[in-house]
Amino acid sequence: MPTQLTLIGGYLGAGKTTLVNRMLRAAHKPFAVIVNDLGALPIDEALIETRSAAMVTLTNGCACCQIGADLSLQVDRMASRGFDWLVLETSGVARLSRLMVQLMQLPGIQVNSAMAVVDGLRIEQLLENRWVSEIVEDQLNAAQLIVATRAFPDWRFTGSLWHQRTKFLEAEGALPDWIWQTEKAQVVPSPKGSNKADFQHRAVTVNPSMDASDLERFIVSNPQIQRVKGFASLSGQRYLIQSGLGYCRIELSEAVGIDGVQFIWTGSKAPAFEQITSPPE
Amino acid sequence: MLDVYIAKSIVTMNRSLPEATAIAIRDGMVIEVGSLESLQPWLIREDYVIHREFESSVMVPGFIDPHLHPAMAAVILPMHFITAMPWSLPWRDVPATTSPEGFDAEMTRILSEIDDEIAIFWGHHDLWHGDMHRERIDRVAPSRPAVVWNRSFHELHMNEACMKYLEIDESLAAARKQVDWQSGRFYENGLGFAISRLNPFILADDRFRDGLNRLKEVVHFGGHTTIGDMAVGLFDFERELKESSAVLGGDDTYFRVEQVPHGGVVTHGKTLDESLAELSRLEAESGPKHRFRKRIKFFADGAFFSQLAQLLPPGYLDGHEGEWLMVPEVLETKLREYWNAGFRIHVHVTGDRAVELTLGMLEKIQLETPRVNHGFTLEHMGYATPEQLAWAKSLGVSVSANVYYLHELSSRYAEMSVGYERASSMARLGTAFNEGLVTALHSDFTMAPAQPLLNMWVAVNRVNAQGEVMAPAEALTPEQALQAVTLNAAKILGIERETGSLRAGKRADITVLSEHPLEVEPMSIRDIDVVATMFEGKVRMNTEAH
Repeated sequence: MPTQLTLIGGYLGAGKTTLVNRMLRAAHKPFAVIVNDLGALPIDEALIETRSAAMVTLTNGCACCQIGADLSLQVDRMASRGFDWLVLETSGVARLSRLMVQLMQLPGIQVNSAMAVVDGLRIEQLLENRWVSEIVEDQLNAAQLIVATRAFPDWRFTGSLWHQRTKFLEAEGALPDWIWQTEKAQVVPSPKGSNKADFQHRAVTVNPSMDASDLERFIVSNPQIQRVKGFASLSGQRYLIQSGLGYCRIELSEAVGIDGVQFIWTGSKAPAFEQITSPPE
Repeated sequence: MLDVYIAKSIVTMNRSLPEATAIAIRDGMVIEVGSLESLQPWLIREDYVIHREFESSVMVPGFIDPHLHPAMAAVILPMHFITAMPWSLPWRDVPATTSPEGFDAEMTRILSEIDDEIAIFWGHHDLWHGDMHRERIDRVAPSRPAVVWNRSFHELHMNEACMKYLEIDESLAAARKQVDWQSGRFYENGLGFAISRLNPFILADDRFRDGLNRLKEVVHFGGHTTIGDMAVGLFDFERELKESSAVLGGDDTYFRVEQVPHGGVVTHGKTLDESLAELSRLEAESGPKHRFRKRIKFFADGAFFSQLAQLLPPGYLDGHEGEWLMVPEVLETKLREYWNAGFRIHVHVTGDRAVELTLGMLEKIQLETPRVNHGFTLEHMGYATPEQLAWAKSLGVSVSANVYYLHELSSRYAEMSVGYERASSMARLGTAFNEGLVTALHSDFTMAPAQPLLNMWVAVNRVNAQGEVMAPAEALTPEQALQAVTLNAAKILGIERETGSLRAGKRADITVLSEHPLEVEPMSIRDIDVVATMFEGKVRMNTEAH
């Protein structure tokens, strides 16, 4: 039986370490964590201890051969210590496609799942970033699972990248927030748990007679709202509205298009959308 | 007591007195440079001894290689070299082996002289040595485990005995990509698999220490009096510190090691304050021969040899993309933190896109917190545009370049990597000097031989391994090239007040050469012999090497 390896990719700050910590909490058996991101936040050591798991950090290895040798050494070591499940948290700029080819070479290793973690609040910005957009795209394209954290990304932002070939899965247990399974998925890790998040969403057209401060007041006075994104014409001007955990931005926009604002909230109490939508004729 | 050395010529790299014939030394310090006549004010006042053993030789400031990796060298040097190019090692002049038969004969000869658990040969190159395969090694070594490592380091072959010894069987290997079971070939990604099995042997304690001892000899042999370990922790921070001070810390080491920690490793898992405290401690505890200072190394893009440099458009011929070694935002954060803390920062950049990223970050940080004489250095600089070098100058940036890229790779990269224009102008040193950048040369050993005279020869002649002259407009003068391996290299490490040129008050670090490097025919620069080195006044003849 080959050692199973779960690959967790995703850009800096996407929530890879959070995901690993949640997996440690929920997993039904111990696993070893290999971290290849020198910038990563620490894995919870208490969890490592209580779970009889183990963790090692890779350096960048030889700058010539990249991580090849160091990675293979640690994978070997962990496998020889009896772990039959390894979780590799990659560097934020690792290309999942390249890493998967490398991992396929390691003796006795089978990649059971390759995930890309994305920060739902930041992904659009990254896909336009001059320095890393092509790496983030590679992570999304190579992944079998796409895990979104912090917020449910706007369906539309993915453009042609995802929406043709992804479907929404309900998040369960250790798995955070939202998950997409791509067509390449073979194994979906779904440990049972109880911290299932209950997110709901709705798109509305905002009453054009309101002004920006009215809308802002509505958003901040409904703490169940997790994420707001979209366009609205208010008092004769067009605005881009973006709100997430801890911020709310309403800015003038010159973009042309159809108005509509998507709200995502948790819990059973929906915001009173009638306060901001157009009154019935 | 003054020691006065007479030489045919002393090239000082001090423009007020460019050439001299005598140098007086006391307690490791240069007291005065000049002639026996001009030294008289000292000689009438103090006891002295005149040494004439170098009177037919030429002295230059002690060579400085500001960027090499002792730990990497320690892994490779214990291997047995069989190479297409002649490779001068202190324990052995490796002659060029240019035929398949010659390669096999060398393997046979070496096998008869060694009893290694696994015999590892390094330097195979298809062009000269023919196709390598398992059966070929089996014929030479029917029962002993043997590995033939490619010159590029990205491919190896092993024989049947070795696979058996490492418990690699067909079912394990055959299904993997980039492993060819029949021929015993492991390449690129498949190499990781082979290395995972070889690690216990190539990283064993004794072998590593032996490797460091060999590195010491290589550094002596190249004529160096200072080297920069440009990423302590690349491999294993504690082990490197311990082994390095054990092997390179004694009186039989005639050079100093300027240590620059790997920024990713020393900052990992620590707050900024914790990292700064740790770096202060390292600095305080380091001795004169192994010295940490306020210096740190970070990494931008991937390796030049692996074609993972980040390139601006039009990019690579085949459209593949380079890599970032650090997340750009993390790099910017670290640069800002260590800039603000007053560090000299070295950034590994191989491609022009990485230069663009790094200079953009530095400009932003300079505007927030201006600094002068900050020593920010671009390391390697495989590709950089002329405009970037002018920009670098405006930001006070220095360059430490690997010019050997040009010699080894420019022909091949012109054909299959980036096209002729950019391949021929890699290591754009003429422009760097013209722009007034502090520009030095390094070997990045073992990426290139640790021989400053060889690097000078490449920089002056810009001749590649195929004999073509590449972008001659970017050639350095012999004097610029010598400056790049002495005074400018000292500036890169921030030690130019102590060494790098010969003048009153500096350390007596001297390399003694058989010929005058500024007067020989430029194509002969690499043939000059290193006769001796003098480290802080202590002489080590190069014949002592073996």
